[in-house]
Amino acid sequence: MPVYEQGYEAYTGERKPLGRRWIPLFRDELLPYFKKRRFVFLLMLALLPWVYGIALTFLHTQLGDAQWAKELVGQLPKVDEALVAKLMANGFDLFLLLVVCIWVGSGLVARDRRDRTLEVFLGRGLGAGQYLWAKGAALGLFLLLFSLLPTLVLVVFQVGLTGDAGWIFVHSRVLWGSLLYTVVGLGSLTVFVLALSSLGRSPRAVGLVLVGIVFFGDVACGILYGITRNPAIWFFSVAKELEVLACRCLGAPPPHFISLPLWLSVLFFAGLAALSVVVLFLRFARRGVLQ
Amino acid sequence: MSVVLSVRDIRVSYGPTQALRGVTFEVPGGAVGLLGPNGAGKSTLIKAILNLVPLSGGRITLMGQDSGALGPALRDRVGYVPEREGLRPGMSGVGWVALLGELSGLPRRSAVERAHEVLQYVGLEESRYRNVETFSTGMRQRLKLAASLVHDPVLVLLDEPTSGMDPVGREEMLELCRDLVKQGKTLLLSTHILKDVEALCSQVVILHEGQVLAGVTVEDWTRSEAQHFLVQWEGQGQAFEEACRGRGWTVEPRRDGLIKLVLPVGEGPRAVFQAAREAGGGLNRFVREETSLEELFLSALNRNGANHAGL
Repeated sequence: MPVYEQGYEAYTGERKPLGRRWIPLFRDELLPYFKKRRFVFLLMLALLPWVYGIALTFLHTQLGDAQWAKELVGQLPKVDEALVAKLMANGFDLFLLLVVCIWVGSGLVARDRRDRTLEVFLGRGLGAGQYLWAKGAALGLFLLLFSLLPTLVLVVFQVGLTGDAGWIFVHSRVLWGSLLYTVVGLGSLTVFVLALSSLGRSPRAVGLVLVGIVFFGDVACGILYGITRNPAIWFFSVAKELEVLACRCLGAPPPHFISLPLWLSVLFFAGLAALSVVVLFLRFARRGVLQ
Repeated sequence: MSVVLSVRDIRVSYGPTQALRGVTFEVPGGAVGLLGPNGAGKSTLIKAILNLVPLSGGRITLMGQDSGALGPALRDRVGYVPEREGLRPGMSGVGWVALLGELSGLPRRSAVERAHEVLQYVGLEESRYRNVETFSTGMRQRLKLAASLVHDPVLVLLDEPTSGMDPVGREEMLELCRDLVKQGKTLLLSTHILKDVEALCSQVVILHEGQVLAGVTVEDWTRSEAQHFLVQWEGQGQAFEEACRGRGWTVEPRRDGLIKLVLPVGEGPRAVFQAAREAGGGLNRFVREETSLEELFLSALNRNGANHAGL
């Protein structure tokens, strides 16, 4: 008796166009994280400052004119570019952002290399470009939860509660500044993590390297700054660069000890992205990533 | 018969090492065995067909279309069973096969339906919801075969599909492959297990040090090689053996009274009977010994080692 009882049947149904092949891989990369309770808890934790921002919006718009609350509400920070910069680039959120970046990013390509599923994926009708796009989009989406998405929610609340869209025009920098920070800062970070992940075969090893670069790099910069008192030292700290970029993009003053100019931060992230793109190109175009 | 796969003078280098050196062969259809010792370039050749390694030269066409020019679109018509791993831990069997179906362009619903079908076909219907890391070696190989079939390819590339399997699992896998050939699929089977090739393939391509040593049908190859006979001479003494040795044949007398003769290419049973007559007797027993593919393979390799003229 053969192992198969049902004979082979040909597939005669439709096939999707080549350009949309990345979507299943993106979904496959994204969804398992939402089943991990610790990860979801981390995301919720990261959204806490934004809950504070929404609460401020509510208090200013709903109780700002109430006689009994006027004095109290007046002492609270206003919802503007400076507040959004603080919500986006406070030490707590930046720490969680980098933790998520390492958690999700370290295995993006390295896991497929370890399990030898990369050659299975690339052996299908999925080009290297679509593969990288799917992986990058998954990490990028998580990073959006720390920047553009909660900003948009905040804006929607502000406009919804006041019933006046004029706030958007007065504070337009909240939107384009967040967008710039997301594209330049978090986009570069995504490509960098993707490139680093393509260099290793072990997600754990890639994660450790990332921890070294991000956290120990920051500590090393702090020690050097303590010795030299030179703010230029922070140029090499990813966390501080993100903080400066967010503040500069939103027109808020960065902490005095890391007052790097905007162009320097943009240069840092542009250099990081360019280097990462070159690494990815060499790894994938020459198929070295499959060795 | 139209050619399914055509490989023309392809070259692949890993740094200074040339893994493939001008490999040329054609696959007309059916099952074709890709034989060669470790390091011969079998896996590299399969990866080259899938465009997973860059070619330094040459051309690969699939059903008349250039594989380099069409890229991903053409790979929709190829299935691939990798030798090692190639599965995602943490995913169920059906989830993994459905994902690969989607990556080959099947809509989600069709991919899931099709995944169930092919898993049933390979005999994994009972285990399809189990996570892949809990599968045995044989089940993993069958799962990989299912994944390679989910998008209904024309050509299936199998890299050591029976590696590490027990005899029963191996036979089941070969049976599936035989059935696929009957269904009109073309299989390119890379292996070093010669019995698999013998059981399944109608044509073999022998690779050695990145070059094609031989590319022939198994039947032609067997015919073109030295023939082995077991005979019993009715006469007394060494006359028959001397007559055979005089013709340049290899003669191996056995304890049971039979004599093993190895005749070179071109000589057949008629010559044996003639030698017996010349020795003054007849033959009581005459049996042609089947030459195994293994013997042929080793002889081809040995000949190549002695002089590089090839076959």
